[in-house]
Amino acid sequence: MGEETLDSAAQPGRRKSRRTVIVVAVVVIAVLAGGLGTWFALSRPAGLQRADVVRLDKERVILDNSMNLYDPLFNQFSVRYSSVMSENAEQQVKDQVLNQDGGRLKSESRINLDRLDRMGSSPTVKEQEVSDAFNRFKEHYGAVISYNDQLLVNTSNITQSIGGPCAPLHSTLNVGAETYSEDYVKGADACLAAVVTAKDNTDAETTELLTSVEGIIRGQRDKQQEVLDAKDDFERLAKRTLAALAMLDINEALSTTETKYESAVKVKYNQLVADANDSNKTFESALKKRTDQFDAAGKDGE
Amino acid sequence: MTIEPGPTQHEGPAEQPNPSQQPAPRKRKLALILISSVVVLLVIAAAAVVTVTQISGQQRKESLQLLKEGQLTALVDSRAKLQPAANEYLAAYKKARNAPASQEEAEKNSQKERGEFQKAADEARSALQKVQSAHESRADGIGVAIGQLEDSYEGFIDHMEGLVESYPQFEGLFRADGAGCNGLFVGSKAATLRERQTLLGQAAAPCREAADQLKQSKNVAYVEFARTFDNRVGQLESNAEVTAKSEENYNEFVQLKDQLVQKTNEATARNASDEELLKIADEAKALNTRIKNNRSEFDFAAKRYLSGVKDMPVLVEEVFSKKIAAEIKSYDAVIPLRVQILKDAVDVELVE
Repeated sequence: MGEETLDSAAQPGRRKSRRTVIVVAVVVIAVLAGGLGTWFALSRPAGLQRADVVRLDKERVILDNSMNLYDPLFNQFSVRYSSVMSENAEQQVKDQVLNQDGGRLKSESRINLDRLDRMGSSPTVKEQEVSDAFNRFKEHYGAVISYNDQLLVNTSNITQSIGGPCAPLHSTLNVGAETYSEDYVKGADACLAAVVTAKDNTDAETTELLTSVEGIIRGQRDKQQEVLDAKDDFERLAKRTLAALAMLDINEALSTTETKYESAVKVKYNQLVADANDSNKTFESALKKRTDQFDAAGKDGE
Repeated sequence: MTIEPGPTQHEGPAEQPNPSQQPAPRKRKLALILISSVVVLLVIAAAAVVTVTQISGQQRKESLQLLKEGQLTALVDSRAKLQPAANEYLAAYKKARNAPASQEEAEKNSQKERGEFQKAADEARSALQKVQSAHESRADGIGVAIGQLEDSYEGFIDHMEGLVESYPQFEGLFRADGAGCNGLFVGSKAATLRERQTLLGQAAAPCREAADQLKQSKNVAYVEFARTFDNRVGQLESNAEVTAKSEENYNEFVQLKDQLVQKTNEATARNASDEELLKIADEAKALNTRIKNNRSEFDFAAKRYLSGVKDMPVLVEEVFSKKIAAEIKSYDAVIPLRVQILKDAVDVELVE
């Protein structure tokens, strides 16, 4: 086209037709450009697409699958952390397990929350019906995630106290030894201090567990203290007998407390999981309905 | 670009004779030419952008497809080969060691299996690397899923490598030509408890040193075992010390008792005062308390010593039957989920 323009410019006699050629050429080019632009724009259509819905559904599946990771990761953390606590490894090793294996659970939750947020920004969620289902899904999965965050705190704190300084109290002391009362009081004080610290940031059930254990240990400790405070041999013998009798009940008391805690926690968690599963099903079918609508519309168009 | 200089060259001489009559059309023509050139360039640019977008979109799609179907499948396959290769090596090493052979010889005789395991481990690492380099970003959905897979997968390879690397150390703990921890089981070799304590102490020193080394393993199960084992041997030593000391105390008490009996007989014979007799009685009572306490300490320590010895084989056996099995089970639960999540994350990007 450029050359044609040049040719016509060289012949002044045909100026008019030359101009026409230029105008026509420009118009043709402009139309072409416009067409190309329109096609390009149309290849990225506006409005909700079937692909957006399918994408959101896949993200839903990803989040649902991610929830199944908590269980094995928690087992790994809890086994490793109890091991370093009960074997009284160096502080640095204890911290490493807490940071690495505990940290993995933390980042798991952070990533899952990010995934929920990303799902919330999908254009599909702007539609009322999908939006309702998504909000319920987000609420219940968010609850499972924060339950697991809390579980990490609970498990760490229980392991640091009951699994730590409290553990040797009823397994490594010689009840028959002369120094038993003294040893018990010393060990119990360390245990009680750890239990008090452990109550920071735990949830209601765990705090109750720790408080119960604290009460049981404190009761035993005070009885042993009475033995130490006894004024004469006879009183000491009497107090020692009473303290020993009280000690017979301790395992039962501790296991009752533990059973109560475990069942309370289990009920709470099962409820959260059941709710989450329900919301997942509802969300899934809302999305399915939407893709079905697209498929039906697609067939009508043919 | 070549269009612009053309017109000026040609037009120049043609327009010169009559410049005052034709200024407007000339400018208009120039403008038209310029505009049309710009339009043409714009069209070319737009077309180029469209093509590049299309091509890179296509390439991206293909590389994601490859990540999902090629690289991830290779990763899963390479992982499946690790555990059998490790088992082959453990069996080969143990067989060689039982031949019998020294640790060094056994390592030499199981070199083939060791090499094959290392090859499998290297392949697993390079399969992971390929997955990592298939997608650069670590911030988007795919990148985050790759990061998580990487963490678990590397943990698994480390676990397996540690299992193989530290096996000779672990296996040699209770061998006489190894760490000699079997020397801990003194049994009837000792005539007295002090002798038992001495023999135990001699065996414990190299044994605990070997346990300390095992604590450096890449395998968590070995490390946890080594820590517990070290503590148990420590307890064994302290209980052995308590029982030995109690036995010595007891011999001393027998002497003291004889002395007291003699003293009492003497006092009774010479009709000693009640005061003196009461004093002797008090001494006897105090001695009785010491004997009773000594007895209690002895019983407690002896009971714990025996159960410590009895539990030790269980502790060793549980490394494989429980700890390693649990670790592998955990990875077997986590890694397939991580792979599935990554595949789904790729699918999210591939949806059309």
